[in-house]
Amino acid sequence: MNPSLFSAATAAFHEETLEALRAIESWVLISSQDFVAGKNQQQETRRQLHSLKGTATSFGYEPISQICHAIEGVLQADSQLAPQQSDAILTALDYCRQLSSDELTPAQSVERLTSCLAKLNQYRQTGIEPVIPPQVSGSVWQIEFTPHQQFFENGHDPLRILRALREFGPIKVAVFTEKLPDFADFDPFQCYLRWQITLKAELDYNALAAQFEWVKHVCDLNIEVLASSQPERLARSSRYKLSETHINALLTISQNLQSQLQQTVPLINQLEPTDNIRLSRRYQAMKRQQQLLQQQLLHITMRPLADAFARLPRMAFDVAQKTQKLVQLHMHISPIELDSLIIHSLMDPLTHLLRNAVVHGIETPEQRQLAGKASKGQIHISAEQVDEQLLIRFSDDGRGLAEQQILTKAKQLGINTGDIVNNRQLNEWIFQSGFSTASAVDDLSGRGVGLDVVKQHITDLGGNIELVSTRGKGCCFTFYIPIQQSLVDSQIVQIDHQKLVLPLLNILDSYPLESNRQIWQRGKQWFITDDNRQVPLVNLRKFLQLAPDNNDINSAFIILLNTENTLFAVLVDSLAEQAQLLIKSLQPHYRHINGIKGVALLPEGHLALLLDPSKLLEYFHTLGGH
Amino acid sequence: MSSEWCSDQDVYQLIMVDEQQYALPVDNIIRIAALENVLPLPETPAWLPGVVHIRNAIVPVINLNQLLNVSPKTRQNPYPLVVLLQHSLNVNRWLALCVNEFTELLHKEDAAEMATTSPDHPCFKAVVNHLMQKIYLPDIDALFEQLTKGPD
Repeated sequence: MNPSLFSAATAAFHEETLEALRAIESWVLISSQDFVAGKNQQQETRRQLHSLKGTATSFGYEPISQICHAIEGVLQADSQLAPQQSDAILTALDYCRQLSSDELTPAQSVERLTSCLAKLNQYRQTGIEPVIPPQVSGSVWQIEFTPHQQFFENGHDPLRILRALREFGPIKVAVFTEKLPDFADFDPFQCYLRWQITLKAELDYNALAAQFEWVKHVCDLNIEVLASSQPERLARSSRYKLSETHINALLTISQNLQSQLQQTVPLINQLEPTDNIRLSRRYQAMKRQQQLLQQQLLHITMRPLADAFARLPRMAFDVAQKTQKLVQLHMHISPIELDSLIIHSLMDPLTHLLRNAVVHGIETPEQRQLAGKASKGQIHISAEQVDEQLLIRFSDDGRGLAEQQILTKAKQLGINTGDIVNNRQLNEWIFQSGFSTASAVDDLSGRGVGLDVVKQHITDLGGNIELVSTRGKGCCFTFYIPIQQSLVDSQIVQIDHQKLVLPLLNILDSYPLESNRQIWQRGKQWFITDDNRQVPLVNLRKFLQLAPDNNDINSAFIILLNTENTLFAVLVDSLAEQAQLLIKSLQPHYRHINGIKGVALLPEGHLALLLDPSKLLEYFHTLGGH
Repeated sequence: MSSEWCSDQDVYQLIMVDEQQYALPVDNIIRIAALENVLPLPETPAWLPGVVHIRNAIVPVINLNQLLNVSPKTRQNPYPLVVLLQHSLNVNRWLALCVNEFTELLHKEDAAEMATTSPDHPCFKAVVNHLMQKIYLPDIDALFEQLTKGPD
C-alpha cells in the first residue's frame, strides 16, 4: 500500500477506535443506571464491539481485539450490568484507549492486557470460552536468568542455554557476580552467578521460554519484551499548535481579503464585456476560496458545547463507585458550537462541581432512605444559549450546603455575619478564596471548598454564578456566560431585501402560503390555520420596524416555529439556504436587543440578524397581537 | 484647546463628517476601514445607523452629526470610511464613527491656545474655534456609555 494511504488509514483507524470506545463507554454508563435504555442500545454496542474487534486485528492491535471479544463474553446475558462488571469493562476500555494512543510500552501493555482479561473473564457468561492472554511476540528481549545455587547438581549448564539463545540471533550477555563468596567459602559445585541477556530476534514468547523448560524448577526467570515485533506503526499526523493570536490574525486576514474582493466589484463592472466576464469568473473563484478559508478557520476555533461535558458521565460513575453511592446523571446540552476557549475553561469547574456533588452533596443510600429520599441521588445538568448568554444549570438533590459550618468559617475569617445564613450571603461567602483552604475540607464537609477556583474560571470568561441551596434538598448552581460567537445551524429567510436568520432547531415546518384565507384575525390577534390548529402569527415586519407589506402576500412563506412547547408562525417573503453560520454577539460593543440572539455572518460576507424565537413570542404577547 | 481637553492626549486627528469637524484622540484610533455592509438594528436611535463586522467583532457605527443633532451641509457621497475607536488600552470594546475624510493632526500645544466653549451634550467634552470653524471633541468614555445603556 502507498505509505501515505496507509498513514491516512491508520489515522482514520485511531479516530474511529476512540469514537467506538467512547460510544461503548457511554452505553456501559447508561446501562449500569437504566436497564431499559441500555437494553435498547445493546444491539448497537455489540455491533460496535464486533466491528472494532475486526479492524483492530487488521491494524495490528490484537490486544484491542481480544478485549472486545472478552467484553462480548460479559455481555451475553440480557441482565443489567453489575457495578463490578461495568468497572471491569470501563477499565478495559481505558486500556484500549491508551493502547490506541500509543501511551504504553510493550511490557506495560502485556501486563495491563493480562490483568484486564483476567478481570473480564471473571464475569464472562457461562458457556463462553475465556480469552487467554496472548502469545506475546517481540523483536528485542531481555532475559533475567538467575540459577539457584544447586543448579549444577543435575548436570545443567548455563553456557549451553546461552549458546542456544545465540542460535536465534545476536545476544549481549552481562554476568553479575555479587553473590560470589570469599575464596575460602567457594564451592565449585554451587552456582553463584546470574545473567542478563539481551536478545535481538523475531520470535514468540513460547519459543524463547522453551529454552529454559528443563531448568525452570532450578532458576528464577524473567523474560520481557523490549521492542514489539508488531509492524512499526506509522507516526500519526503531526499536531500543530495554533495560538489564539495566530487564529485571530488569520481570521482578520480572511476578512480583509473578503473586503478587498468586494471592493473590486465596481471596478470589474467598469470593464469591457469580454474582460468583465473573464475577471468575474476569477472573482467568483477567489471568493469561493476565501469562504472556504473562513470556514476552515472557524472550525479550528469552535468546538461542540457537549465536549465540555463529555467526561462527566464517566466521572460520576467512577466517583460514585469509590464512595459507594448511587447517582444518576441527567444531561441536556444544546447542540451548538462555541469558542474553544469557553469549552476548555468550563471543563475544570464542571469537574469540580460534579466531584463535590457526588462526594459531599449526595448522601449514602442509607442516609437518603432515612431522610425519606429515593436511594439513588439525582444530578441534573443543562446547558443552552439564552439571548447572548450560555446558561448552565447544575443541580443535585443531596443534603445542600452545610450552613452552620459555613457560618462558623465565615466568623473565623472575620466576616461580619448574622446568625442566619441566607442564599445571598452564601453567594458572597462561599466563593471567597478563604473558604478553599485544605483544613476547611473537613470543617465544611467539603461543600463550598474550592468554589473560588470555579468562580475564577467563570469570571475570567466574563460570566457570573448564582447559587441556591436548600437544606436537605440540594444545591443549584447557575452559570451565566456571555457568548461572543457560536456556530448555529440556521435557516436564512428574506423580508423585503433584508436577510434574516432563524435557528433551525426551532423550525418545525415551512411551506408556501396557499391563500389569504389561511390567515385570519380575532380581535387584535392574527392567526394561521395549520393542520386544523390555530397558530398565532408574529408580525416580523413590525418587530423589525419595516414598512407594511405591499407585496403579493400569496407568494409568501409560512415558517412554523416551536419554542418552550409553544407553536407560532412567522411570514417571510422567501426562503434562502440552510447553513451552519457563525453568530457573533452584539455585546460587549453594544447593548442586548430583545428578540435578537446575535448577528450572523452570511456566506457572502454580509451580516444578518439572528432572531430569538422565544423572545419573538414574548414580543407578540406584549403587543397583544396585531 | 484648553488643558481640560488634552490633559491625557497629545495628538488629535481631525475628521470631517459631512461638513462638520471633530477631533479624535489619536491613541484611541485603532483602524480606518471602508464603511460597507452596515446592518441596521431594530429599536435603535437615528444616530446609530447599524453595526459592521470589523476585526472579527460586531461593532456599532455612530453618526456624530445625528448624535449632536447638527445639520451641516450633506455631501453627495457620504461616509465612505469608518474610524474604529477603542474604549481604553486595556478594554476590548470598540465603536466606529462614520467619516467623510481625515483632515489634519492637531497637537496639544496648538490646541492649548484655542478658545473653548462647553457643549450642551454629555457625549462631547468641548468645542473649539479653529480657523473660523467649530471643532467638537467627543468624550470617548461617554460615547461607550451611550452604547450600552438602554434605548432612548
